[in-house]
Amino acid sequence: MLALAALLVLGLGARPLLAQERSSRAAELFHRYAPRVVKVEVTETGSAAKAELGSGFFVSAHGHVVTNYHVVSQLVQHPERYQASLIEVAGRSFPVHVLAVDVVHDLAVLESDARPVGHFRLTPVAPEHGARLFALGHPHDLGLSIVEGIYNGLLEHSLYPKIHFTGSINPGMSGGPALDEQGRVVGINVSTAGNQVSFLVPVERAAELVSRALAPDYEAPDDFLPVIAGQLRAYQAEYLDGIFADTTQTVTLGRFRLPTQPAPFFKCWADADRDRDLPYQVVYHECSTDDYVYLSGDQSSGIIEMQHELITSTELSPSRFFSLYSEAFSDGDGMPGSDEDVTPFRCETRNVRTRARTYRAVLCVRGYKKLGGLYDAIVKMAALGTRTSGLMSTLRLSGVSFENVQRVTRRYLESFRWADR
Amino acid sequence: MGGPVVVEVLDERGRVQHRVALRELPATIGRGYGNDVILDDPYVCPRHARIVRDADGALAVEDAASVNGLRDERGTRAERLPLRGAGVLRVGHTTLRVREASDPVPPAIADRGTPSRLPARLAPLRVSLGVGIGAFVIFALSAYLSSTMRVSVGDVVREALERSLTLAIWAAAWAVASRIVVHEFRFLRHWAVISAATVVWIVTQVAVGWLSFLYPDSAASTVFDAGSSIVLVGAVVYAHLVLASLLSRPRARRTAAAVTAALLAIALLFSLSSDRDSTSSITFDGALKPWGVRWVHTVSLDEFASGAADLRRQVDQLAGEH
Repeated sequence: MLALAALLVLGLGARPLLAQERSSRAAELFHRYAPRVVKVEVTETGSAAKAELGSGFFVSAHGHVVTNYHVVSQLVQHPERYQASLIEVAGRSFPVHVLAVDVVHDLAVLESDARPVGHFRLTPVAPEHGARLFALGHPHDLGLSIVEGIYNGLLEHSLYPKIHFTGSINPGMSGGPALDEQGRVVGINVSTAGNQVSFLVPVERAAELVSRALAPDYEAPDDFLPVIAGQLRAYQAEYLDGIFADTTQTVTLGRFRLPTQPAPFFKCWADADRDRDLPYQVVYHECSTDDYVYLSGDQSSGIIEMQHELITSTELSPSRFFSLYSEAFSDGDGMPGSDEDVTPFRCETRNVRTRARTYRAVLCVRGYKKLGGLYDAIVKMAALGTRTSGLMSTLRLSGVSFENVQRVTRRYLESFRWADR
Repeated sequence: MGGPVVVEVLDERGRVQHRVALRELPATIGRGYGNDVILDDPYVCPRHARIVRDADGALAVEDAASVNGLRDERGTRAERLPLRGAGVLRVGHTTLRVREASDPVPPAIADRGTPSRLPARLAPLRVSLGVGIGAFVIFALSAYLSSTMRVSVGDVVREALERSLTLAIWAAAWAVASRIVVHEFRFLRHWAVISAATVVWIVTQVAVGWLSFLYPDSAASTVFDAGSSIVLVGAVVYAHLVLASLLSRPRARRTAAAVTAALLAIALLFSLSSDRDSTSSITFDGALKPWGVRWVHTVSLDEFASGAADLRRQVDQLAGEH
């Protein structure tokens, strides 16, 4: 915190010198590249109401545009109910169609009849940490804007490398390009965590999708849902491969040795509840992916969360402690999900013996209705055979294949150990 | 005309307390020991009235210059009351009914089984009060064992008291019904019935918890829970019914079964209409016990995983219905 404050003061002090240079560079880039950036509007066919608004940019002379998948997700999911158009900075508007999507990296390629004067060529760029970047887009539909910020490297705790951009990306700028000082696309504006913490999809991902979509033998599918399901299945197969492997790190909670940091893209933290008014103490240890795959307004995928909870009491008798333990274990759980996208949960409850000990284990699963072969699962377990302490753990998986539900559940249950054995 | 006459002394509910058969008329009514009908009522004079038969053979009661006089059914005072219809009159604070020996009585009610002995068994104060107090102790124990916070004796007693009082309100409702039908409140007995039933329910819930702890994969706990609840509801309705009515045992049993079936149907309808499977939330079966882990029915991880295949079939089917 101190280091951050110092940097800010230094930054402010250096301002008069840099300001002129900065503004002139931004003005130059804006002047030169604004015609290559477009506004993407998705409207509901019936009411002609604006449903989604984002940005995009030309990647070919034939009107091909790159944007975020989440900008056009409604059009992809309900092509019969929505239509989309792009609006050039000069004001001309063209209807667009989705040509290709990469739901994992939140990208889409659109085609239109627009014939832009210039377009971006997507090539891998490796800016230096601290390099200045300029994000272009339509924040809050206020007109095309340019935002200056800093390239802060790739995120560590994300499922795939995302660029950490320190600058204000606001709603409506999604899908717009972020350029380096030479005007090369470095990344695609995708999301923000507020307070200037914003994220870009690296340009390589977009380059891959564009080269695939513009290949001569490529044909856009009529229905993108099977394509999206396939992308998610391939993606989860990859990132779940090494999860809870034998080499997974462990953390000791009471008499238990438990898995932590199941994979590098997890963030873990711990907390304790030692209220003096309560006759028991709770220690938490949680890990979760920091990232997710946006599917629709109601549905996200690719989120994994794990929570260990150690409850101990020196005051309660075993009977009373187990009233508490049972109550804590019966606490409901869930995941957001609408009737349209997912089935209700189905659960199996068993006492499971592993080589280490016996657990009460519940596995609950729901299926995706539109994206075949994908499931959400919640595994909850409680260690049995204790008197006045108890360990509960919950694992939540979303958007995974059933094989992975079984495999990961198994590995997860196997990874619990007694600390003294 | 001129046969024997029967004087019946009625209580305030209209039930006969005792009868005096009079072979000859006129006969005297009063508090004094020399009367034919002796009334133990301070508002009655030592010699209060006379029952006479007039020349036509009709019965009448004449005031013998008493302090409080004679009153007919409606409370109108009269020197002489001809006895017609029900033949009811008031002397002091006592209600009398005068009947001719030849007056008809309704035929006997056919006996369809004997009434339950439960009202009699619960009648002694020590029985009904004992059951209620015993239940109170169990409520306190159950409140203590299920408390997960620091509790004082006062907290536990308060919780048990709340439960006992709630049951007392239920018992009071049945007591009112009893008062209407069998002219007795029987409050303590109704309270004993519902208290005992609540204790049985607590015990069955403990058993259900143990079943689901030991055999989470079998339907045993669910079946036992549902079965014991139905039987318990039936038993409670039966017990309240026999306390609040004069129904014979078979009829009370049939009525209790019908009421239970109706309640069950309502419960089923309710659960069917509200049982919309949630796509976003789940609950867990959390019956965990600190003892007996060596007797729990366990499965291996392999069996657990193969059970998951069944879940897949279920959700795939749900997804297919879409």
